[in-house]
Amino acid sequence: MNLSLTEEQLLLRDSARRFLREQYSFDVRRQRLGDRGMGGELWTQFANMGWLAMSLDEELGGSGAGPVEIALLCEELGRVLALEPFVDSIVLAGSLLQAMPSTQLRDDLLRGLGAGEIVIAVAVLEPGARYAGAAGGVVAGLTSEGCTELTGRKILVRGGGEADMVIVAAVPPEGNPGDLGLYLVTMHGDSCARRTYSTVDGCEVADLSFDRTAAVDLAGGPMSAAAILDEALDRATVALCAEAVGCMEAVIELTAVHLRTRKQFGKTLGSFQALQHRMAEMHVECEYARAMIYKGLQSLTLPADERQKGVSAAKIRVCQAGLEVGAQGIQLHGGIGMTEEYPVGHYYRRLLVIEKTYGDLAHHFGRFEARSPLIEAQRQ
Amino acid sequence: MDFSLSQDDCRFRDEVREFLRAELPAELRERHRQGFHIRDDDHRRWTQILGRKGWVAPEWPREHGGLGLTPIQRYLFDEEFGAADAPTILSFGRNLAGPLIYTFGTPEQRARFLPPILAGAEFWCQGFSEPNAGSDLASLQTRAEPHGDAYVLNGGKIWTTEAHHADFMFCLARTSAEEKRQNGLSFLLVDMKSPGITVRPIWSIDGEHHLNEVFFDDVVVPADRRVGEEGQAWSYAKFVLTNERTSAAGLDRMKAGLRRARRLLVRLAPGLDPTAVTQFRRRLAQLEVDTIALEWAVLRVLTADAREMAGASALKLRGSALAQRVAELVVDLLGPEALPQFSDEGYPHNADHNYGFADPDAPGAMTTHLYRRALTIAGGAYEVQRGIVAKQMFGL
Repeated sequence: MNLSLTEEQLLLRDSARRFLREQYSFDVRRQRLGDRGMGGELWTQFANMGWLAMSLDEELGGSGAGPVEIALLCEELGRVLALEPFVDSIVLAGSLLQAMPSTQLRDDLLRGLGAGEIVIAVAVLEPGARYAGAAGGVVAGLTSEGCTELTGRKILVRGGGEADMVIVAAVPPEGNPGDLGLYLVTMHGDSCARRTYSTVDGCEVADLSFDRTAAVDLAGGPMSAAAILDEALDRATVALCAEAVGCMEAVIELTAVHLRTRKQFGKTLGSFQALQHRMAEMHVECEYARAMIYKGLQSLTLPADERQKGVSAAKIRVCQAGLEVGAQGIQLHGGIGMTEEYPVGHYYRRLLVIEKTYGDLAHHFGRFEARSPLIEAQRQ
Repeated sequence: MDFSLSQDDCRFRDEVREFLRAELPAELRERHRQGFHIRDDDHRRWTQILGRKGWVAPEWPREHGGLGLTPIQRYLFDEEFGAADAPTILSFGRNLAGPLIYTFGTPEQRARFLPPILAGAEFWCQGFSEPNAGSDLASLQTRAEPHGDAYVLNGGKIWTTEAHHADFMFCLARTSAEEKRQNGLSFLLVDMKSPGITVRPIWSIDGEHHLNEVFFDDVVVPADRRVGEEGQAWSYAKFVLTNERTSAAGLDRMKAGLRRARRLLVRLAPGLDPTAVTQFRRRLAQLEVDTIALEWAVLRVLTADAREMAGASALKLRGSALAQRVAELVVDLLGPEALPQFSDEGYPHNADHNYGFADPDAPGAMTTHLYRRALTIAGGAYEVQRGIVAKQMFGL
């Protein structure tokens, strides 16, 4: 066992940090918040940096990087609060496609995704269904010609506003709610109604309403669609956890500077022991969250049951730390922490959204507990 | 990054597991499982069993009689002890006196003191805290005055764990008065049978006697029992304590506590209100998650590149508090049955001894809980540690 980063990994992290610091200042981000859409120029730059194709096989234009490299990059994206749907489009959609058997369509999609030429979103959530992927809100049917079509509504689809393609989790033809298939919808003109809006972190999402929309059934491999989605979501969850750690690091840096410079009662805030201790706690929280990234990464190498348990443990601990660090960051800043013009509140909002993405605390506690049943203890 | 254990490590782990299965006396395991402090005769016996295998301090370098275990092997070693409910031996000789002596001692001191530690023939206690020097250790006042080829020791130590059983103490004493309090301190290896030493027991809130007060009244310590340079002990102490911090942070105890809680919950669940079961389950899950986090924080410290480790010294900060929460959960699961004072004297060596309670997990649970209040005090109170982190990490 060795948890060191290789020279290449350190290089990747450092170059990403440098690039994003220069290109993605808080002011640039604020400007991007006002714009609609993907900020095509930055996405193209991500592609040029090799980030979008990084985990693809070499014949698809990638460099065969793994979850460790993805996590390193996501941490840096978290540090600058990048608005691009990297985790959803590259990690989640990419993992879904990579888990499927190679076909012309799949390879073309992955190549386009990696080159930054097409944007693929993933539609899982349905109104009133919490995190269930196919509760019956969208169902697939067959036309008399045997073509697949989707009907129903998906919500909070990250990047869905300008996705060229959407992978949709839906109940298969003749299936019952809970049965899950994965379908590809090409978005053009009137393929479906989209309503685009922002979540509180400024990221763009869309609700998609399908009405007998033509779709391609992506099933056909040895793994069930449900298992493919579950594993891809776990990969995306670990990446998202790394993003959260980047957010926490940034909050802690900002707060430490504030405590060293801001004066009240005739001395710097940092000279008050109550605040020193809170700062130490924030640091320790972040260290444990960081440790959980390693647990998450290790879990991705394990059989499904253990993977699910480990990833849920990571998501729980990272999100608890994130909410605590974010909230304390605001508290230690005082009034300025409440303002739109200051970054710390933006980090908090992103951390809130991360907690409710790919399963919230309640969801992951349930998943964790289900995989460590009480009955097990009787054997010991 | 490599998440798997090497074949060598797996083989070593299996060897430890097999050894513990074969050699750990059943009554010792049962007593440890319940959470009572290890008895002196049991500790000696167990250390000698380990000594015959060469496993009292297997992480020591080979030239000093250890096996030179890698950090990850040390971790596996401790983990197997935890999984088998095997007591780990007290840390004073293994983790503190030994490394102090082999790092800073003379060849004569190494030859005299290291082999008996490894054989389980001699035991150590730590002479750090004093009535007026707790977390503020540098304010200690015990004096060692040079007198010919010896020092004369006067003063006293407190909270000295196992002083009543120890053969030697590694003692921090002031050999000269300097402007900076951290200067002028020296390490002396004090024979506990020396004339002028009085050991007074301190009974602690867990109902047991492991702490003591130690008084020095003109105790003569030969000069060749000083470790390293005179006046330099502060830096030696820091080195030894930092070394100690990279050990497993008591993970083995925490995991054993979680197993106990899980066992209890299974047994008690049928008689509990469903709401209570749900709440206990969530508390257990939270502690299991927190333990995983601590475990991976430890694994990072043990195996990651030093360049990536700024700030990892903070990890013990939460480990102690977590161990307290685990013990609390066990007590809360027992409910009123946790309340009786289970006397250490009454500990049954006969297996069919019955306290009159249905639950075999009741004895020792409260003792553990009470004892663990000390974890956030010993070695620098939690509040002091937080101050150190704030200063080191943020310059506050």
